[in-house]
Amino acid sequence: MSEKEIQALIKDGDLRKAFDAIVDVYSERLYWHVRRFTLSHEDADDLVQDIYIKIWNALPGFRGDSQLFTWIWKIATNAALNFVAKAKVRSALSLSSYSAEADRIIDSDPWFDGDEAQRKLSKALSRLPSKQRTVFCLRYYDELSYEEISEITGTSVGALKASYHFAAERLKEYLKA
Amino acid sequence: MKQNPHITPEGYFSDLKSRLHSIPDVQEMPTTWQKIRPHLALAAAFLAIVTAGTAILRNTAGNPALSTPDSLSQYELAQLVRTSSPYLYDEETYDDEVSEPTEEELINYLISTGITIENLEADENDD
Repeated sequence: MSEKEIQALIKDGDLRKAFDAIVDVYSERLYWHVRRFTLSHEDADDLVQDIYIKIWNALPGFRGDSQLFTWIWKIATNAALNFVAKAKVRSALSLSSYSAEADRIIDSDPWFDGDEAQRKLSKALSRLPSKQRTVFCLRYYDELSYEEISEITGTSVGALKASYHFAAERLKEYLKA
Repeated sequence: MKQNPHITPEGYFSDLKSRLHSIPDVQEMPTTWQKIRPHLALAAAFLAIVTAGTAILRNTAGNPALSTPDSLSQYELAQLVRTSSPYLYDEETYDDEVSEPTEEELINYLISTGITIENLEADENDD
């Protein structure tokens, strides 16, 4: 089902059908988007369910002012960033660092099937500031345009380009080391 | 490098979709009342604080027994409160007109400041 068809269902008040279509169309892609932030499969699974509950609750308020896709990604990205912020606080409370905790998750993840370079890239990504990490993931992995990322993050295209540039530079430095 | 290094358990996405499809069955959509209830609670709390604050101010601000301690005289109050202008509290002690210093006071002043008679005469001649 296309985005326009789902939007028409929402407009007609057929929310259940629209929600089912959103699950069918976006759930797999949304899972991968979230997994890049949570790192572990179990946390991504929990978070995707939380995000869909949020989507279901917010669906009556969707007015169609923005694309459905960017609306969903905005909810998902905010939830993922909240997850990372909480993880950072938990690490700080246990007198550890978030990057050390992220390394531990990546190294012990049974659902990681990459080579050493990909493992290093995952670790490097977890070390980026939240904003740079978000922009890099949305641009590089989700292949969104800067305009779409701007709509999701509420940041200007110019600032996003700068963030992406700094993120790429930091990743290069980390991978060289 | 852009390949996805993460994997999921076998059949995970079909299981995930069936769980997500059941969300509307277990998760009732919030009613309008449930949506506005937190905002109303916040507004009620704010109103209660403003009302209580206003009541306390009305009961205390205009009460002379609380604003001026009648058990203390103005002089006693002046002793308690440090001030650079003590005669604000004790006007009777300090006259507006400055009285002429006595000869003894002048001598003490000249000794303490180290000014000699010659200095004073020189100043007078300059004038």
